Order: sequence, then structure tokens, then C-alpha cells
Amino acid sequence: MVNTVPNLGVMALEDDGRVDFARLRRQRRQRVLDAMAERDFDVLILGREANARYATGARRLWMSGTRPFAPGCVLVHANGSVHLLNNWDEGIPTEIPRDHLFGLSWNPVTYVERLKGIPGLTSARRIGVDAMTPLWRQLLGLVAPAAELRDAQAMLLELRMRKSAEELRCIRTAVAIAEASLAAAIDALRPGIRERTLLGAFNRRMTAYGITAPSMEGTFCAIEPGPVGSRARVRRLTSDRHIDAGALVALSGGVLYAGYEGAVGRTWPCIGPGTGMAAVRAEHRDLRRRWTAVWNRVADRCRPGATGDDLRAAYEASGETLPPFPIAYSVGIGYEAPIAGSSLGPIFDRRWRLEPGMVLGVQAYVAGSAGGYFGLETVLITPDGHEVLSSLSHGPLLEAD
Amino acid sequence: MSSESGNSPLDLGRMRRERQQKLASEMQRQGIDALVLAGTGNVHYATGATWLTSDAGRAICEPAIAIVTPHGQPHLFTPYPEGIPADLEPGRRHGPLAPEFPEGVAELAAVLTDLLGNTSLRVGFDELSAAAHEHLPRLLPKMTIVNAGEVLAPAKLCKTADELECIRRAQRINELAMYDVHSALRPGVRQCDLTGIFLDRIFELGATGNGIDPIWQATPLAIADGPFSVNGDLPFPIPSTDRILRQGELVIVDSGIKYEGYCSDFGRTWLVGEDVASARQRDHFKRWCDVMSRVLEIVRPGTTGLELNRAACKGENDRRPWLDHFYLIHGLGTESAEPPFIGTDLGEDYDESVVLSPGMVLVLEPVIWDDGHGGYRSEELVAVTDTGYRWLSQFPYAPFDTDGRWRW
Repeated sequence: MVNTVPNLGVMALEDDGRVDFARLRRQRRQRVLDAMAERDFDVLILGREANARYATGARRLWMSGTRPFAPGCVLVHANGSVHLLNNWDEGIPTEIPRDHLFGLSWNPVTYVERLKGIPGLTSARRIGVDAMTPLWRQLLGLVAPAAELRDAQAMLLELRMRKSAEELRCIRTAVAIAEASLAAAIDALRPGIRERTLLGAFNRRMTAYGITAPSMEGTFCAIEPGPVGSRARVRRLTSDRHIDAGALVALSGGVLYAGYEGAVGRTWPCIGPGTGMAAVRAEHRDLRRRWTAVWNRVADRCRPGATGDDLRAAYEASGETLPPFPIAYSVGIGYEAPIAGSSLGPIFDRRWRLEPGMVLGVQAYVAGSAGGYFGLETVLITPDGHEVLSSLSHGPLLEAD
Repeated sequence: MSSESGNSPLDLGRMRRERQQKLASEMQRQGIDALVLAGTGNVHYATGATWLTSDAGRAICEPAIAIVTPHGQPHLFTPYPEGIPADLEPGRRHGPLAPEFPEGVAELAAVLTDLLGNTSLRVGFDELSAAAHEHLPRLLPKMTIVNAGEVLAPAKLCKTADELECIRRAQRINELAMYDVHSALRPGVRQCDLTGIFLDRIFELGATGNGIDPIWQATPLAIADGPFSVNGDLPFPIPSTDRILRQGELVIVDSGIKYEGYCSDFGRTWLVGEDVASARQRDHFKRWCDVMSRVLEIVRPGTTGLELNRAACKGENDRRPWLDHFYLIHGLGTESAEPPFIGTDLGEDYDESVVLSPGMVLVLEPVIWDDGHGGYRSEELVAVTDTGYRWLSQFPYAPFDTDGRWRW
């Protein structure tokens, strides 16, 4: 039986875990091992947390920002084994034996010795890495003297971009939580509130679902009107500012469920309690209509076979100017790659061809002198088109039509 | 809290200038022609720019990148124009680079050639994408890639007055938020509930970002009753979930937020639903205080890390009074843990090479562990001054201090 309306929730049920995590991990790991064989990698050494999580299911400490490369996860193709840098087995799936965990060290000599203890690593010929530092370029030469160190990030991205049914269940759950959290910020929105208070409301609701880390701290920013004839600029960094009555407010946030990102973005007018729809300005409804027109054009191209450049072209064909951020990015275990509208340009966008199972964050921004409208939807590419996974209302600007 | 006001003056422009001067003189001293920085803390240090705080994936795909030369301001490449410091010259402001992808690496190579010329150069990188690792040496064959950490570490080691003020403010925000969290601690509260209170409060109080998923680790009294431990020592820190905290549980807390790019580091041990700790638990705390006192007594310029290490261990004969996989002391700045490190597995010779100097920030994190009966861990921040140290942290030790307010 195919249940077309997913039963979303974060609690495991007596009869159903909702997501079969053991199966999810098994499938992901097998895909990585198969890809290693295809690309002739004896070993993968992963430093990026998202890659390590994909390959192993290890739940390790979330930290904001980048972390410099260090071998945190090693996969050996010959025996299919996974070795993890972790001092304990809490958060480590049971299929990874305890003697495949190696401890944290601040001493490069000790670190190198621990790596040398991993069967199959020292004799590797071809090692795939997902990042590098100048120091580890030297140290890995000591670990596996005969090996060439090659880029495996492109391969991992390709794997991560095509989602399994279990992965989609995680993303749908994450989107539902992101929407609930954004709704809490919308509930808190009123004249005089500070932008950062909205961010707090988002986080507070997110944690009520058992989630302790967002994927991003999000945008909770009033869009200030520009001079007549200008385009109001969108800010994306939440500030100390108090929000005026009548302002349009860009609201966007992302959460992580089992490592998977769900994100949603809306623009809401800051209307005082009891003011009603009469306070919604016609210029603001026009902005929302223009946004919907761009969205419809881009969404129309969200189907198998289209390239990132097709999405960019659809956006531009609407007559709107591209925003200063990508209009589509691949989403899975966090942000995976910009797909369309990034600073890398149309040739870069052309390299990405949409396939069923890909999930995109699709975002657009339109502006006039009265303000701007920002919206972000999470979109699943299906065999015959797409499904919009986000379902939160576009609010008073839509309803006033 | 406004970024330009407070108890002591904070001049962000001066802070940026002084950091840039330090980087420039260190580059000149080491003969390094440029730095290409992509690490979140490093780009902040070099430029003072801000961006959307996020997990690593987003930060890598939409990064802020700094290219630093010994002459003039850094070049900043960012997708967040609103996060560019006001005093950065127009010629130093650029749109984003994306060295995560081969196309972006080619662009980076072109930018480097444009800025530095196509000559033999020593360029320090803090991290390289896999694509940069693979393609950059071929695209710029005359360039020698060196470790940017060799320049960053000495520049960052001793903080300026403005940097210390940022750290003090970060710590203060973190501590103020913890008053609300601690008052909510009671049987039945979940780890994620505490996180919700914490995240809500830090942003309200002026944090510019959160650093780590806050730790509220319910810790069994015996190591054998907890997760398997690779080194036999206490597993810590274990990530938070929706775990329900129960009466009497020992909860080890750790968190870190950011203020203008600078980190806080808050560590305390709490008890769920208990106003007073047992006599044995108070004894753990007293031993922890004794370690702190012995160490702080000799914190002043000229003291070596080995002297601090030995002072901490004196009288603690069964085990070194800190976690085997961490350290007695770490530094803190735009990274939550940075040099100086004291008490790591780098060994005694390394500790002896660490000599305290004014402006260093020390996070002291002794841990007393009495297996079968639990233990005590807290963290304190001090800055080394010309003659000793001054406190950057200040938070009560309830319920371990019997009179409700323990003093040094």
C-alpha cells in the first residue's frame, strides 16, 4: 500500500519507527562502497561531517561553521569496514564495532599511528579525500606512502543528491518541523518586536520537537522600503532592530532531523493584533503576486532532465533580477551544492541535471520601492515533475487576493 | 546589548586594524606572500566580516573567503554584503568565491594571479577543498602551498584589549542565559527543552551566533555504567537529544556562543532537582577548587605550561585531574579551542614550551572523577595580565557550594 500522506512525527511508534534507520544506513553505506569500486578508490578519508554521517550514520557533536579537514572517518573498500574518530560508542550505530573507533589526539605522531592501525590503509594505492589541509597533505604521506590522494567530494555529492525513500521521510519530517518553527516566529511577529526575538521563537519551537541544532540561524529581517523607483534590498542577517508596524518581514529558517535539512521561507507583513486584512497594502500584495509569477516559472522547470541553467533562465524570463544568492540548491544532509543562480554562473549551473529523488531548496526574491518578497520552498523532483514538500501558507498577502 | 557600548570601551575598527597588523608582521617575519583563508574563525579574524551562522555544509558552499597580503587591508569575498565592515575599502570588497567546486578553484586561481602576479610565491592556506587540493597546484605551478596556521597561531595567541572585551561579552551573554536554563532544571525536563531556553536567551541578549549544540550530559556515577569509552576515561561531551532528565542526575553542562566572532566557553556541573549536593559531591567540588587555586596561584607571565600541569596534578595522585582526551587548559578566541594547549597528549616537552604572556586567554577545565560516585567539572576563563590574571567568567557553583556562593 502506498500512503500518499506521510505520517510525520518524531516519536518512534510501537508498530512503526516511521523511518527505518537501520535500512537507511545500510543503503547509504552500500552506495558509497559501490561508488568506491566504480571510481577505483581503495580507501576514503572523510573530514566533512555531512559525508561521514552519510557513510556511517554517526551522530557526532554539531558545531557551527567550517571545521578544518582531519581524518574523522575512514572507509576501506576491500573489507567494507568503517573506522571513526570517536572516543565513545554513544551516537555510533551498532553495526560499527567498538574496535573500529579511534580516539581523539592532539599529537600528529599519535594520530598518524592510530590511522596506520586501520587494516588496509597503509597499503592503499588510491585514496579519496573530501577536503584537505597543508598539514594533512604531509601527514597522510606518512600514513599511506604509496597512495595518491584524489578528490572524492564530487562522487560523494553525486551519491548524496539522489535520495532514497527513507531519506525523503527524514526530509519531509524536517520540513514539517521547520514550518512549525517558522509558524512560531510568525505568531510572535508584532509591531515593536526585535528581529532576534523572532529567531528565538523559531528555536524554541524547534527544540519542542526534540531537535537541538538548526541547519542555519535563519533570516528574520524587516525589508525596508527603498526610494521611489528603487528595489528594496533584502538583508539576510538577523539584527537588533525593532520591526515597525506595516513592514514586510523576510522569515526563513532550517532545522535538522536525523541530519537532514528541512527549510522554508516566507514574507509576512507586520500587522498589529486586531488590525485585520484592511492593513495589508496593495503594493505588498503586488510584490507577492510578482513572487508567485517567478516561482511558477521556476517550479515549472523543476522536472527530470532540466538543468540548473534552465531554472536560471526561467527565473530571468520572468523579468525579475536574480537575487544575490542561489535560486536553487541541493538539500539533504544539510546544504549540498548550489544548483542555479550562484556566482559561478550559467556554465556551472548547466552541469547539474535534475533527476527523480533530488531535493532542492528553491528561493526567489522580488523587490520594489514598497519593500520586497522573499520565499523559499523545498521541492522534490519526481519522475514526472515535482512535489512541493513545504506547505506553509503564504499568509495575509496571499489571502488578501 | 549594543556592540559599541558596555562597561569598557570596544572599538571594533581598532580591533580589526590591530589584528591585520599582527598578521602582516607575522607574514613578513616568515616570508609568506599571502594567506587564503576559508575557515570561519580565520576569516572573521582577518576581516571582521559577519555572515549567516550555519552548519558546515552551507558555510562551505556559500563561504566568505579572505585573501590577506602583508600590505593593506585584506580582500574579502563574500555572499553577504551587509556583513562587510564599514571601514573596508571598496577595492577590497568582492563578490563570492566558491573554491568547493573545480570552476570556483579556477576562479580563485585567476584572482590570486590578478592580485599577486604569476610569480613564485609562498601562500598559506588554512584549508583546501578537495577540488583545490586536486587542481590548484596545476593551475598555479609556481605557488608553494604552506600552512596558514603558522601565521595565524602566533598572531592570535595574545589578545588585544578589544578582543578580550569581545570574549568577556560573549561569556557574559552565555552566563546570563544559563541563569534561565539552570532555574528550569528539574526532574522531567528534556535536554532539548534546556537547549530551547538557551538559544532563545542568547539571541535576546545579543549573541551573534551559537557555536556548539549545547551539552547537558546526564552522567552515570561510574564510567562502566555509561557508553563504551575508547581510552577508559569519562566519555564527554555527548550530544544532546530529547533525553528526559531525572531526579538526582549529575548533569555536566558545556556550551559556547559567539559575539563579534569571539567564542565563549561555559562549563558547569549541575544536579537535577537537588538544592544541596551530598558531602561526597561537595568534596569533589572542593578538590576541583583546590586544583583551580593551585593553578591560578602561578598564572602570570613567564609561567610554563608544564608548571601549570604539575600544579594541577599535585596531590591528585590517582589520575590527572582533567579528561585524558582533552586538556587542563586551552586558549579561546575566534576558535572555541585554540593555542595555548596545556596537558594534551603532545606531552611534557610541549607543555614546557608554552610560556604564559599578557593577553593570553586560558580556559581552565579541571575534572575530578571519583569512579562510582561521579565527579565535578567546571570551566573558568581568565586573561593573563602583566602581573597575574583577571577573570572573564563569573557564575555560581550551585548546588555544590554549600553556602550558595563559593568564593576563591
